[in-house]
Amino acid sequence: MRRSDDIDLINRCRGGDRAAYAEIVLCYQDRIYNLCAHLLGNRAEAEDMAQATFLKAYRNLEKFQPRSALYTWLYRIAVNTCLDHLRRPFFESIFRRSASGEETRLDHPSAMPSPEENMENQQLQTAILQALGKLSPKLRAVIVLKEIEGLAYEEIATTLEISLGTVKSRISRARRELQELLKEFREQK
Amino acid sequence: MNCAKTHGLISLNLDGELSPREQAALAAHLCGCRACRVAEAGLRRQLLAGLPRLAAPAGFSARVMGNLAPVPARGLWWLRLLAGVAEVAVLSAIILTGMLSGADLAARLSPEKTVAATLALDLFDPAPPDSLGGVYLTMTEVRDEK
Repeated sequence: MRRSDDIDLINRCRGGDRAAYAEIVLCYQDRIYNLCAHLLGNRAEAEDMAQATFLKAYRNLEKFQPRSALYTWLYRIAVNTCLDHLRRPFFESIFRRSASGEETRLDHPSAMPSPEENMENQQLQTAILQALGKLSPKLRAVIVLKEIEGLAYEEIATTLEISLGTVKSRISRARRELQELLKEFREQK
Repeated sequence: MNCAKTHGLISLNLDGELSPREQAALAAHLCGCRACRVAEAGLRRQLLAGLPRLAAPAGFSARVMGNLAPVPARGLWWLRLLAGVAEVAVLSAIILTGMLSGADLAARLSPEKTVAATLALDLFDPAPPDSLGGVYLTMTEVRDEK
């Protein structure tokens, strides 16, 4: 969606047009859900946090600055919502689903691979998700925005409100740590 | 160039963020350092390439729209302020009524005591000896005497 379209929709929302907000949700729901799912490693929590993101955005439409892109604003809300969720106290976190359990696996085969390929893909996905889950939330946020969402360094800096230098060093560290965590899995293959 | 700095440059190079001069320096280091070449090959594998892109579940947008509260209209701040003040006033009135009723009841039960004394809950002393409170007080008194 073009930025001018986004601004037009935002203006209509501010005027009380709920249909305009429905258009925004439809347009960005997959990106926000995908981001939350990879930050949290859990589909059920991802849906809750993606919903919370859109509800927060709606309540704060007045604060949106047209000089930034709508998707970076939504990404920022989503990342903060997920990080807050991950920082919940221990007594709440024990009710979360297991980080390596059935609920967590985000396998989503689109083609029809053979059973062996499917098994291998699932093992790889599980290994990657477990490795991702072992990164600190800050490193996870930058690497997901870079590698999965495909954001440029400047966009990540804007989204997370950190400097370009911090983005670069965090991405480099996240890649190194992921490489270490996945080394064992790849060596077994 | 040392290996620690090279790791940062390898990551930047994968994203096309290096200047030609930095690229040349990195290439020169990689030629002479096997460990960094291995690290670079590992990073080139696109670490998260195995992960699928996920779409929001069916009915997601309808659920979001169903949970939306109306956006507060612009220019109605004074109405919200008035509602807040009214809320505080009603709550204060309820608390004050409760306090006055309690004081009135206490004055009727024990006319010789002042309102301040009744608020200290001395009105309910002493606890009857057979009650749980009475047993507890007796036990603590015996312990204190010892």
